This record gives sequence, C-alpha cells and structure tokens, in this order.
Amino acid sequence: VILTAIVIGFSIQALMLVGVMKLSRDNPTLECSEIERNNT
Amino acid sequence: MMTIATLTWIALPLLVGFSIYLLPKLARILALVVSIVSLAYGLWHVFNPAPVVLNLIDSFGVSLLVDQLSGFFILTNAVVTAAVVLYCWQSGKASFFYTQAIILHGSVNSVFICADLISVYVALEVIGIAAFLLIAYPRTDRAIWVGLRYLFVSNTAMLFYLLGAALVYQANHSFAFTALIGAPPEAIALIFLGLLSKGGIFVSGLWLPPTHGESESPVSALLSGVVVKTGVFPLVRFALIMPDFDPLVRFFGVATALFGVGFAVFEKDTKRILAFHTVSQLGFILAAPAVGGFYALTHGLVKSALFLTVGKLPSRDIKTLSKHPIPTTLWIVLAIASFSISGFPLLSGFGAKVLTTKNLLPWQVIGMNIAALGTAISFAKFIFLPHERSQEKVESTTKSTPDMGFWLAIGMLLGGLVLANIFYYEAYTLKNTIKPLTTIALGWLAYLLLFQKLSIKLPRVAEQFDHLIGAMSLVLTFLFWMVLT
Repeated sequence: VILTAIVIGFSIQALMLVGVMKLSRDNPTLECSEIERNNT
Repeated sequence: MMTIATLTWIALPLLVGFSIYLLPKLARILALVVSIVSLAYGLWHVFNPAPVVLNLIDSFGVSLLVDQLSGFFILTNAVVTAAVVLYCWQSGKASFFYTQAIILHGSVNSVFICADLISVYVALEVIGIAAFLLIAYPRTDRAIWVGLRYLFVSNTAMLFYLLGAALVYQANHSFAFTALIGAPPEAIALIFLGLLSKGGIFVSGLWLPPTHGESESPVSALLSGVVVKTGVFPLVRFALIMPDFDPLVRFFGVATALFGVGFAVFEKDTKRILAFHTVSQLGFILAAPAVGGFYALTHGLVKSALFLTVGKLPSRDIKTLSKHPIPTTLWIVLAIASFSISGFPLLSGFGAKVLTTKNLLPWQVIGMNIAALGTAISFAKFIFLPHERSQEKVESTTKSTPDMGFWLAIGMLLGGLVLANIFYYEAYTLKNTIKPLTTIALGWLAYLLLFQKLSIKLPRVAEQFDHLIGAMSLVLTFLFWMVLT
C-alpha cells in the first residue's frame, strides 16, 4: 500500500514538473496570479 | 464465471489502452470496442441486481462489489465514452488521445466496483493523471495551466483522503468501506473532504467550473459526464451500506444542489452554465442515495450531449448567441437535452426526477424543489435561443459543420435518454406529470420576466487557484464539526 502511494505520488510530481517547465517559458516567475490572468 | 468476466472486463481497458499505442491505426475501433464491452457488462448488472462480491489478496483485501448501482454508473461511463470516441472520429486526434481516454474509462470503471478505501484511492489517482493528460492534450499554455490546476487540486484532495484511509486502518485494521463505522471523526472528515473535492461538490467543488469550462468539448463531456461521478459514487456507497452517514451525504446533496444552481442562474457563458449545473446535479444524486444510480445515468447522458453540442456553437457567450440565430438542428438537440434535465415527461430525466423526489426526506423537499426550479431557469437560456433553418447562414455562423460522428454520438446519447425510460416507467401518472410541468412553467416565467434582464456578474474570487486550497481546509473544519455532532 505504501509503495503504491509512493509510486503514484512521484509520477504525479514528475507530470507536474513537466507542465510547470512548459509554462515557465512564458512566465519565468511562475506567479499564479500572472499565469491565471494570461490564460483565462 | 461472473468472477472471471468481471476480472477480464476490468483489465481489458488497461490492456487495450496500452496496445492502442502499438496499433495506432486501430485506435478508434479498439476504443469503441472497449466501451461496447462495458456497455454490455453494465446492462447485465442493471438487469441482474444480484451483487457480485470479490475478495482478492485476503489480508490487505482488495474487495470489489458489483451491483445494480454500479451497473448504472458503468452504463453511464460506457455510453459517454462511446459517444466521445464517435465525436472525435473525424477530428484526427492522435492515438495518444484514445489511449488516455480508454485508460480513463478503465479507471473510472474500477472506482465503480471498488469496495475498499485503497483501491478507490489508486483508481482515483489514475483518473487524475489520465484526465490531466486529456485536458493538456492541445499542449497550449492555457490547456496546460487548466490541467495543472486540476492535477494540483485533485492531488491535494487525495492526500487528505490517504491520510484519512491510514487513520481508518490504524483504528480498525481494515481498509474496507465498513471499517469507517468505528473510525475516529478526523479520519471520516478527511476521507469525506477528499471525495467531496474530487467529486466537485459544494464549496470544495469550485475548481470544477474553470476546468470543465476551459477544456475542449469532448474532454469536458468526459469530465462532466463521468469523471466527477467517481467522487460521488463512494459517498453514495457509504450512505447505502452505513446508515450513519446517510444524513451527512443527504445534507451535502441539498447544499450542493442549491449552491451550483445559484451560480448557474447568473452565469452568461454556456460552458460555465453547464459546469455549474453539473455541481448542482451531483447534489441530486447525493440527495437520494438509494436511487442515485439512475439519476447519474440520465445526467451523464444529458450533460455530455450538451457539452458536445455547445462545442459546435459559434460562440460561448449567451448574449452573442441570442443576437445571431443558431442552426435549428443544433437547437433541437439543445432543447431536447434541456427538457430532459428540467424533468419534462417522455424523457428519462423526468423519471429520474420523480424517483429522486420520492426518496427525499421531508427536510430536503423545499431545497430540492428550489434547485429544480433553478435548473428550469438556467436551461431556459438554451431553450429560448433564436434559431433558423436557412443553410447559407448556417455555413457562415458555425465554426465547422457538424459531421456524421457528431450526429451518431448525439443520437446515441439522446436515444439512450429515451430508452432509459424503461427503468422506471411507473413514473407516468397524472400526478407525477403535473409537478415538473409546473416547475418548468414557473422557471420559464421567472426567466422571461426577471433573469433575462439581469446582468449580475458573480465574483470569481473563490475560483482562484490559491483560494481553492484554502477553501478545502475550511470545508475540512466544517466536516470535522459535522461529524462530531
């Protein structure tokens, strides 16, 4: 059970990292409010 | 026999999902086949209510339970997935899209048959990942941001859930749903918070409108039609097997029904109306847990039909739409779906509403009637859109003319809506028919006299990313207090 949770946790972290890296190209400071204003 | 069938069926989508990568040419066909298999399996369970119980790996216990309730949810999932695959048939989506859609389908199915906390956790996390990849499929910054928001919120919610599950195990040495009975209140509050946030219910569900509103139409249809029901299903299950939780679940049902509809009435953006309306419909499912399955089926069909149709409209803003007539064919689809969801006879939304109303407790009735009225008001916006037949104009106003796949998908969803009447044909009595008709009439009156002219813009502060997580902890405190009393 613990192992499953760890595996899932890490894979989600990895996914988020990829997403954040893509976003950081246009928003280098990664401020939530900035990104939100640009994208909604 | 049934055991093997169940296990094959649950493993099939995951297996096929990955082999779609190897056989990109067959992607669409394989995806369709998987959903048809689920359709058959779901139907079988709807008509054979005898529950199937499975216990795998005894000590930690992966336990599965398939009964009529699961049957209805599986049926919803199958029809919606099939419709989305048909809708995307000619859109030239890469096999990656179908892989994710089928893995999502499989994991949603597994939530509907799980009977222990950890299996539900694993399935919900897989859903989170697959849904994120689907939302982020267009790879634009906007899609990625919407996806990241979703992933972050759902991951945080699931962390709370996991904490709760660990506390339950500490108290009772079991992960089964029934172990919740003797669990400490903080564990129950944490688990409920996880499921409420994942299911987009009440204040913790405010992440849902931006996510469902900004995604592509087929993805919104999947998310709104089935994915949010995975958060709701365990709650319904809790209420059914443990009467102690019944009042709590019913309370959240009424609260979210009113909450969602309150936003939907004032909203001017078509996709956001639908998203807020999903929040409120989930409340109807929770308000009467015993019959939630049927309601979930009708809502899933209607909501995905609406999302797919709205995606074909020239604009998302109701104001713009009311100036430029929309094609009559699309309007008919919108009208049929809106009628069903407001509970108009002949469509199964009517049966579902009647069945739910019958199963309400006295204290819920007023709240749910107001919510039903709000539904009629918010869908009057769609029904009273201007429409016209002339083809030349149609060509110029629609983004792309609806194709075969679209009509097949819509035909399937609306056909399902009419066919689903057979599950509860006893609803058709004079007394039952009058009430929804009055509700709809009142709703339209209220819309034409009042709401059409109103232009209140509700603030979106609470939907901001940072506030979502804050709202979650507030709800947690509230839940803890409710469980204690």
